[in-house]
Amino acid sequence: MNRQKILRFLLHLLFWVFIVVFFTFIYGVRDGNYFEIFQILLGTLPLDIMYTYFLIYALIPVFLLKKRYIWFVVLFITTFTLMVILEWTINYFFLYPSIYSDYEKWKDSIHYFSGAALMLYVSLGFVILLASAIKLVRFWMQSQQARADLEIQHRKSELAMLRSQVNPHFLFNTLNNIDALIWKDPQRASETLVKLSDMMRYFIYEATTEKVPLEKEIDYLNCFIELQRIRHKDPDSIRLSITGASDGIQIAPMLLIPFVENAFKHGVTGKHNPSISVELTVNPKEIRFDVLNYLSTRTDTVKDPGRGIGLANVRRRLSLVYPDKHRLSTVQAEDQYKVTLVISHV
Amino acid sequence: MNVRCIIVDDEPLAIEKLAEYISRIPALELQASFNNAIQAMEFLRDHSTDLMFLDIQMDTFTGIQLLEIMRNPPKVVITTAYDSFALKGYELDVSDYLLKPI
Repeated sequence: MNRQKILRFLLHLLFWVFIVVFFTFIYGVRDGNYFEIFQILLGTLPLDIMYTYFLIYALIPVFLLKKRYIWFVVLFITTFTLMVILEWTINYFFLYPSIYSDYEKWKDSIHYFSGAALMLYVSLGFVILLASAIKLVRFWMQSQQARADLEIQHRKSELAMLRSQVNPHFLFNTLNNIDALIWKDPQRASETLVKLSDMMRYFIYEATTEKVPLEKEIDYLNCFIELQRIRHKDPDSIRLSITGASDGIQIAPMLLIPFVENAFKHGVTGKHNPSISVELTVNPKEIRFDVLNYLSTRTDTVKDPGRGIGLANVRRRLSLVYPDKHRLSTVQAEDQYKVTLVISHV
Repeated sequence: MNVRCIIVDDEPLAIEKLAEYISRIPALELQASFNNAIQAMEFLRDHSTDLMFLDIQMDTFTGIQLLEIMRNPPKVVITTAYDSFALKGYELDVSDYLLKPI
């Protein structure tokens, strides 16, 4: 912080040194009277500095950046003109007579109301233009940066929120099943509990990164289907098939599971075999994911808090993570419902 | 006199668990259990019961729908993983609810 302040001060100092040197050279080059010009410039430098800071720390932020343009233009033109008149008066009546050694020779050739005063418009104008340009560019860069940061932050929190929506209905029902298994088949209860804890570990800790190895997502899928089989009365009608080599492939976490959850939510088991089919096909270019289920004839599903937003979430996530790299299609034919998701991972 | 009861739940393990608890209470007598609402309705057409343990989220018909279409329902205890379903149950005059895991 302190170092930054020192650096800032040095940069401002450098700016003013540059201004004085620049104008000493510009005005002095004709007659070679660099030292006299330098003294005159130093004489009005405090006014230049005051006015420049007044402009970039008061007029610009309060009027220009707040979009009060008319006020800005009016105030700027008046203060700028007053400043030029003030500096010209100081130059003409105090600095010129005391600094120029040959003042007596040319004093009658330059009148107070002559065009020479306009020269100050140009030079002061140059100073404030340069300072304002630096200020405005910095301001613009900062606001761009802030906007970019905000955007990143927004997307991060949105992704975290979308990911965290794990279905509590599934969780509590599975716990209920494990509780039942503890009496009936302690061995299986233990295995089921381990699967559930693997799943929880995955979505609480491992699925918090932007991408995960595809194997991890497949493990999760396996656990989920296995736990669903325990819940259902005909577990064999639930099919899961995974083909292709998944090693080395990365995928955004928790993208596939909502489709499977949906299939179990709306799907009817018992009538067809397979009643729910989940197929994952991995090839070097893309991941293809097909989920098939049969719909019940009932007209309405029970409103299930925390769900129903599942698919909308996935669509949103897909458009954030794989903007032009995915195809999602859903087909309903009679009592069959089929979802196909293709993600190209190259 | 024993309280006769039935269980309606689409998860076999959930039924087993409730049945186990019911068997521990001498005053309760489990008549039958069903894994969907339709079977339960068919049973209740020919039989009567005092108490029904009813799951909400099931295939084809939900527990709520079953309650809505039954004319003379027995006393009902809702068994669900969602407490908001349990509250919805009170609108349909249920006696109590059990939150899963039970």
